[in-house]
Amino acid sequence: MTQHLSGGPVLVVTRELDPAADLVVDELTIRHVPVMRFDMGDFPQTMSLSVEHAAAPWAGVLTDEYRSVQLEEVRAVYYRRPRLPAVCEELTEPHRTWANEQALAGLLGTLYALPVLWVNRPDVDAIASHKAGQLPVAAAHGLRTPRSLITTDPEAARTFCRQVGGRVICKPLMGGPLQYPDGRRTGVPTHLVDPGSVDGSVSLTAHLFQEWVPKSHEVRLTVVGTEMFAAEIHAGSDAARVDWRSDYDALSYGVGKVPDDVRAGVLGWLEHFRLTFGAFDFAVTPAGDWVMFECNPSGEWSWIQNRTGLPIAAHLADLLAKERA
Amino acid sequence: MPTTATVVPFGARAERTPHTVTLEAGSFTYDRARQVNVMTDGTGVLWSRSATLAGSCTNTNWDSTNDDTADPYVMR
Repeated sequence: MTQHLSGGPVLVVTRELDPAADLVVDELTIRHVPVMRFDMGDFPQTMSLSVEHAAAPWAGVLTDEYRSVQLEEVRAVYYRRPRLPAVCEELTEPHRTWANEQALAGLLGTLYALPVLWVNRPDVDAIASHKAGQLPVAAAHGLRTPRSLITTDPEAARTFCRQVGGRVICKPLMGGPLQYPDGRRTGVPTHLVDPGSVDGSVSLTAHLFQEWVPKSHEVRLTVVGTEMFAAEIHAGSDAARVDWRSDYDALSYGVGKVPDDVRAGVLGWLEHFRLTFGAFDFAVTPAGDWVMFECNPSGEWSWIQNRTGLPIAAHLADLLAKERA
Repeated sequence: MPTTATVVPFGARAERTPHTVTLEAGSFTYDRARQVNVMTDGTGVLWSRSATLAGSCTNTNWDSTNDDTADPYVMR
């Protein structure tokens, strides 16, 4: 039997296997905030949508096998890691692709139209996620950033290495695995560049080179609204010192304090991109300066909470639970 | 122009197998009433608060697609 949720429900849009979302749902439940958690991949086969627009915003019902909500009563949307809508297998091409696109546009488009808080809208995430766009905005807001080069020109890369005069790293311009036909999946971490090895293969695609920033340690700074949670990450191996994601076993964690100027810069950065959540990566130099590498607008945070005790899920729930304007 | 020997982009030569976490099948299940994953040991404890998951970040930058963005239009 389907339970109708009243009282300003929060929509949590993600797949079932999402332990970070579990923590937020649990915190919302503790606060007696009604929650409808669903995966877009269940739409439209086991979920239905029926909304109507006249002059006011869209009004109507979103329902799955267990719960339903009046969309005009929704107070916030927490968007995590859903699958894409999937129509029934009886549909064949080209109608299958067409119908899947209709389903995505109908469901996500309707949710986008709700005048509610999002953490975060995925289309906003997409714009904010580009490193090429992140660094100038960070610098404009007073944050220190590494000297960087994006190029397809091997000679430009060699010149950059010479001009930096110290160590240089290369890192992907965006995340994502290398997916092999046999199912293997690899990734490309940040890595130090031997200038003598720069060759013509730089011209095969765009590359991001950056000056190496000497580090005392790194900080994963998770921001929820205006609340900041600074987790120090101390690397205990050479690989982890270049990219802490390369060697989790060599990491130790602590809780840090955010300098006022960094806090102001980060809030300005988030406001620029209209984000309510961000997971920033900073290096902290031996002199104590914070250098921003990037922000992951849809970044992971649950392992930080588990390692440090920082109450990120609770503050996400507080943010989502605020009454809609 | 690159030669046959350089068909792998310079930036991809550092590729490696990402950090992965092995999950024990059956140790947790999705509780549809609570809308969370819970341990199947009868305690009802959230799987995400369990020791097996405490130190893992399996979804960030170079080991996944969607730390940067979860935009479904981009994911395609």
